Amino acid sequence: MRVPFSGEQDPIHLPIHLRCFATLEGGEARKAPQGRRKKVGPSEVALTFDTETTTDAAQRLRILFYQLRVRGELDEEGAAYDPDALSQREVVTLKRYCAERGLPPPITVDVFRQQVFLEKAYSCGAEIIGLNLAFDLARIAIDASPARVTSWRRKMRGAFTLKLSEESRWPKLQVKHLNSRAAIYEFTAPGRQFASRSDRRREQLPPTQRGYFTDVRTLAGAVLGGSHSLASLTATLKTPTQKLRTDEHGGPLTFGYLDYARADVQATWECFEALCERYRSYGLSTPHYELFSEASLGKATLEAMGVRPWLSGNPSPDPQLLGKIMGSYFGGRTEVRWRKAIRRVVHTDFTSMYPTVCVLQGLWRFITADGFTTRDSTEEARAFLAAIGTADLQRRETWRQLTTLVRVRPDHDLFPVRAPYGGEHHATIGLNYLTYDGQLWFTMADCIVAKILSGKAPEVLESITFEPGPVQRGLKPLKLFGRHEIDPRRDDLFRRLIRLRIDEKERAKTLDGAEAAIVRGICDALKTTANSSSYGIFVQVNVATEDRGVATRVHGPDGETFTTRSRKIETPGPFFHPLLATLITGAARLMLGLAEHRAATEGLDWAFCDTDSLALTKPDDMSDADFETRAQRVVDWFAPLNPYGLPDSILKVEDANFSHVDPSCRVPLYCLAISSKRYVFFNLDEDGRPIIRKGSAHGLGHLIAPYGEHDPAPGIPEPVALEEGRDGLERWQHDLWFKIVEAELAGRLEHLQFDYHPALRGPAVSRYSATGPELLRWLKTWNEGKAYAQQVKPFGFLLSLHVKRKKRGKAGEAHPIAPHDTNLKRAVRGAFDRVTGSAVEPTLLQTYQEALEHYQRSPEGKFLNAQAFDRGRTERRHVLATDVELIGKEADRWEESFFLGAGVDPTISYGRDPASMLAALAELRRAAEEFGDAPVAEAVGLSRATVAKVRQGGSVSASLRAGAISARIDLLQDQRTKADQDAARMFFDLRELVVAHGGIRPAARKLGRDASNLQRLLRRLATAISKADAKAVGEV
Amino acid sequence: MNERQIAELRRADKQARLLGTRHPICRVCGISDRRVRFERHHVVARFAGRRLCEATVILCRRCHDRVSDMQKDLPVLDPSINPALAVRINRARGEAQLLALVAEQRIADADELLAIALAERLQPEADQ
Repeated sequence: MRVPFSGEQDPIHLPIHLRCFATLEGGEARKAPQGRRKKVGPSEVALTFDTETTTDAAQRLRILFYQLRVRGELDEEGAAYDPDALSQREVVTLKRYCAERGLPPPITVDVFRQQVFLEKAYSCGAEIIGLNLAFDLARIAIDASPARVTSWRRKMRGAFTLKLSEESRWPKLQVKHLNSRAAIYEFTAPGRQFASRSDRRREQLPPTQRGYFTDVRTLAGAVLGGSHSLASLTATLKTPTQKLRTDEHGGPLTFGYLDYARADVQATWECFEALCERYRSYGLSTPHYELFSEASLGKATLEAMGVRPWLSGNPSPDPQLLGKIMGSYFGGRTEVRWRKAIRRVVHTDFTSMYPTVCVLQGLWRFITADGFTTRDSTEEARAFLAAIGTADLQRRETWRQLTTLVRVRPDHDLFPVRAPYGGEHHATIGLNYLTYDGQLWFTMADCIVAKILSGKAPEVLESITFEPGPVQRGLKPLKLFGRHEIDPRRDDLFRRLIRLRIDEKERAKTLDGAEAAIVRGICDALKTTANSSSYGIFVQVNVATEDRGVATRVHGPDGETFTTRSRKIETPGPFFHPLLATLITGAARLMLGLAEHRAATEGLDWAFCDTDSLALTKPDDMSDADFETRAQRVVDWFAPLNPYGLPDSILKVEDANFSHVDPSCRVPLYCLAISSKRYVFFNLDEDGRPIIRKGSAHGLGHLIAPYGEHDPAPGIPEPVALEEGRDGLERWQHDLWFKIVEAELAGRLEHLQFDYHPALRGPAVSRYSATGPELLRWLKTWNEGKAYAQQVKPFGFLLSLHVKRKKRGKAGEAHPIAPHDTNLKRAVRGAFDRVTGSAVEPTLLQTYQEALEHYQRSPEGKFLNAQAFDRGRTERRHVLATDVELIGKEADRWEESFFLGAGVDPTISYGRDPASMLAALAELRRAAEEFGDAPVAEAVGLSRATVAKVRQGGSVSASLRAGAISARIDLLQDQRTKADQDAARMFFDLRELVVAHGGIRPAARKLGRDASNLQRLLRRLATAISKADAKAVGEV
Repeated sequence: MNERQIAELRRADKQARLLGTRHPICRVCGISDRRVRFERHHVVARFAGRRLCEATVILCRRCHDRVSDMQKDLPVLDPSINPALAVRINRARGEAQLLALVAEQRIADADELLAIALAERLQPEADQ
């Protein structure tokens, strides 16, 4: 069923955001003076340590345990303590503990830092191992400051420098936070000569020892995927030492607590060993200490097969072509169709969506090729688009013809549109009808989606087809897990990985015990490798923030190139290949589009979609059995597209559709979606109460759980069968969804109060880590005058709070924060404004209840019928693009950054070509002369002074968009014309009345108005009409 | 770890960083004993007092001294010639010197092996 564009809908005027390709003006940053030398890897020594701290704001070190190992064998184990943080009695307890456990007498942290950390670990090139290492390193340091970095060490910009010794002959340590799982660690060059005079004369100069650091959490994230704690890791890896539990943090030292702390070090080491062992089995050559995420694993896999990154073979790619490619790039599609309405659904998702579309399009040929070639394929693309139907897309060979980008002039065409819908702080992507008086690039897949969903194919103005170059030389087979040989010249890596995973999964079913666990581990590894090497690495862009704007060359999609100044510098990642990224996400959107089309063909609708999943909904007048049959037909339609040599469909029915008690039994599944990423799946029990099966934590993740598992909300049943791992909900999040569903079932969703647990009446608190100097600076007032040990230190926690909406006027633009405290009530009492440093009254702070009060009303600005109180089916918008704004890498987790109020704009905007700016100024000047400063200022959102300045020939620093200004001035013009018409109508009506009543006075009496006022009104209207007439005559 | 082991590890680490490997082998004599001091030898001699090429090979100190000594005998290039060509000339000469030293070393090795072989062959006769 096609849904053509309804021309009745009023278009929304918006600037659209497009990705562009940006480079530093004048090329890359200067290289380090010594050049880059290969890292030799750590020595045979490894230092593992873990700190225990106080639970107050300073999180000061109390004790630490460490192990020094040589070639994996334990050589030295011991404890260290901060004498100022322990009582005499605790020191005695620690000494007694060490004596009884056969450990050497405990040392002070100063001795540990000097004699163990610097003299043994640093000097010997040891590997330093820990879990949440950045936090531990900041605890043992003696001071911290923002890192000062040279231009060739830009990667450490925004890092902390930790001081480890008062003597300059020892190095400092720089730590740069990357994400919640990873950081970069490097020793600085010490202030002493490491080479003797004769060595220096003989040019025998060793490079600076930067050190080798392994955060087990980072390694686990790369090898196993996902986020892990020590407890989850020891359980997953089944290490001999499991993480112990304790409630004694911050309490007096006991033998039990010391056993706990000591076991953590051993468990950390065992996890490290197990992860290294698992990583070694992959047969990859990248050292483990260079893995930062799953993406590192993907890169390592490609490197092990001798695949040369596209950029290394083409160091100077055509930036204009890259501008076009980046302009066509959009991420995954996430949309809500049925909003705030409970629908019976079948939840489906595609098997390994990105690897699958890579295989179908044959993108492995591009990855293993020496570059690519382009050819003009305009006529071919027109014919292809005119002829293509959904049946063609059921044939795998069709997908290999999608390596094409198309230039179109969108005219009511259905395309992914990235725009700041509804005045949101962040541009989001919605599949909407787009009209633009310019030309844009899209993938062929997007054009097909437009055709099959709206029935109208976009008009092709130009088309470029990409073909892989010759096969790279130097490719070599890789033996994964010592068993599976993958030859990059013969095999498609993604096909092999996914097929191997399917086979291994089947094999695991026939095994049990330890063998099954090993095979399941291999399955996970195959999945991680396939996902990590099939998408993200191709669009990886690293962003560094400079202190001041740096000249940046921006290449837009329509061939425009201009220079602007930007504080954020984007550097392409090693496997940057934007063509692949745009083709992959484009094809994934096509898959979803096909699923949507098939659903419509079967008479079904959908509740929401998210990148690779779609919840099919049952129409009200359809029986359950009929619905299941039709949904199954939608699923089966995709079977011929399975590229793994199997008869199954690549669209799968999710586990949530089956009973949580008996997974072989299908049960009715319901969905309640609020916005794109806020949805819940549930079953209904015999009493009609919801059983939450799967929910999203979107918009909740930044809040600390107001209550835990052991303090559940009254009247809410225990959660059952929650999805394990990352998709799992915390107890309070489960309860929130339960209450939302319950309220919707009772028809009182809009009146839902989040008051079902006393903890929700407390201030809403978010916990953040002081991961950069900018964040730590917020605590400058708090830290002032305190010794380092008593300060809130780098990577320590801080709490963020919000002022009640109603009290905002009173409290001004307050940004309350509080130092960390496990006792939230006490923490809140210490809240202060991070800007002024003045205390913030706890009564002014927003409670959980208030923070969540609009959660179930979250609007979806990108669609119609999706405002806060709207419910039911959303409709696609018609976007009239007023202009194009060029942007860089899109921010992750922007909503949380917004909540934190970091004061740093997470998006990278390059604005527009300066020529466009000049056009905008000219337009503004003309409008100000015509309408006056005040109405123009109001229409375009600038101050009157700014408009006056522009009218007098000046310039402005604000980013003006010519298209946006034209649109708003057109609007102003329309309003003026309408006002003139109204005035004319009123004038003639009044004049008629005056004539009919024989004069102004009788007419005024009839109208109940003062006669002189009526006369003045008539004069004013007559003047307005004559002015409008004069203008019209002038225009003629 | 005792003091001696720590000192040894420190030296090994410094050497590893200098050489770019933890398992160095002399490219001339083939020695790989970790107690031997290894160095980086610049294959391309300086031109007009400037180091124009950073190409290096790992040599033991003994071989490094020998090859460096040979390098001193290279005729000095006219500083007015094209530096790019000067690099190529010095590279060719440097590589030739290394190969000469390797050849010399291999002949010495062969002689040594021959002496051993002869000694082994004569031994049974002497026993008889």
